[in-house]
Amino acid sequence: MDYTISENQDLITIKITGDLTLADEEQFRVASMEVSEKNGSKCIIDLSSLDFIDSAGLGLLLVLKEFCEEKNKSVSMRPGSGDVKEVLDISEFESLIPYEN
Amino acid sequence: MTSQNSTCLILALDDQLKADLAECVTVHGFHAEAVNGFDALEEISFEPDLILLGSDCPLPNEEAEPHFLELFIRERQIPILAPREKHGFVVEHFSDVHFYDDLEQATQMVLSFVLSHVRMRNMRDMMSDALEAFKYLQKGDFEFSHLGEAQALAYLIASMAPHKKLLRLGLTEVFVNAIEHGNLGIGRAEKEQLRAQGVWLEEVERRQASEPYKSRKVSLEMWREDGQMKLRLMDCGDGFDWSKYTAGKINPVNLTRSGRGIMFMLKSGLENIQYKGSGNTVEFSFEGKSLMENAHG
Repeated sequence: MDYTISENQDLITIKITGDLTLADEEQFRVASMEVSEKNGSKCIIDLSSLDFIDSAGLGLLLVLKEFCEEKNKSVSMRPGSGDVKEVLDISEFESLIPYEN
Repeated sequence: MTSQNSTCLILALDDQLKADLAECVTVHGFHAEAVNGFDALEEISFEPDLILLGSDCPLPNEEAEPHFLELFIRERQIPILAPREKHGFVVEHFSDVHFYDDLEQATQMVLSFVLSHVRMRNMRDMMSDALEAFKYLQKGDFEFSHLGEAQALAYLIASMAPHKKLLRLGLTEVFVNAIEHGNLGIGRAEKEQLRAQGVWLEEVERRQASEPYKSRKVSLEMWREDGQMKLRLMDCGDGFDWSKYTAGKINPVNLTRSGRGIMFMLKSGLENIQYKGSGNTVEFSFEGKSLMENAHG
């Protein structure tokens, strides 16, 4: 997994690429902490370039959400259109983290 | 000679610039193909060994879905050589990016990046050819005990299925479940608690280093039967009541940090899932015919 964090006024975007799996637990928690400590009040998790996600990876997205909500930030996802979107849809993950409007 | 098969893709608008950039490539004996930018291609029939951007190359719309060429470049890890003024976009969207200040410098850089990608491409093709041998598999036995091994095995087996990413997901879930719930005795509630504390992997590693878990392995048998690949997975645990997960609809809101794995197993292309004995043996299958077709693809 690789990630980039960008800020635009009130918006923080974390773009995740590669695979997000149980192997990324430690690195993703560091990333989540970094995002939560930024100043903006809205966070978008950009998954449009993610290649693969497993259930542990989905759990990590919820960790990011919790970290952000503890700092009063709202969280939404940019799901992309490929296999990762299919996994998100299968698990109805949108009910846990909404897709970006 | 690898250079005879190497093609660089040039993305630029101006015809003179395209010709100048092509010269940077052809001087080394490589082929050059030029198009008007990322959006100019709807499909590609070859794998470029380098993407060479011109200073006038239009960039994709940041708000739109990633274009297929962008995804293709990322998937194949094709290096990009770009003029320095394109720094922001390419660095954000791609991983293997390098910059040139002028055409002379670009010419010098082309050679090493192309040869480096050719080596990687050849290695990948060799791996792909080796995987084809899997289509001859009639029966195989595997043993694994660590999460990384489970991931690798899932990746290998799934790589020959048509919906490989979904199948990889399902296999990963069932293999990981066998390790953590079966061999290591970490229950669902306990896992959730460990993950909430951020110490789940630490606990997995701690148990795997100590008795009685240390010597436990998961066994996987795989064989071909009636056009299907059949698998039997056995762990050293006490099993669990799987029926409640298959009896009705699973509420996703309740599927917080764990529990989603079962649903993915059900929806990933794994078929005929049956728990046996005390529940620590599970049998399932997937389409063997598709596996064969994909091995040629």
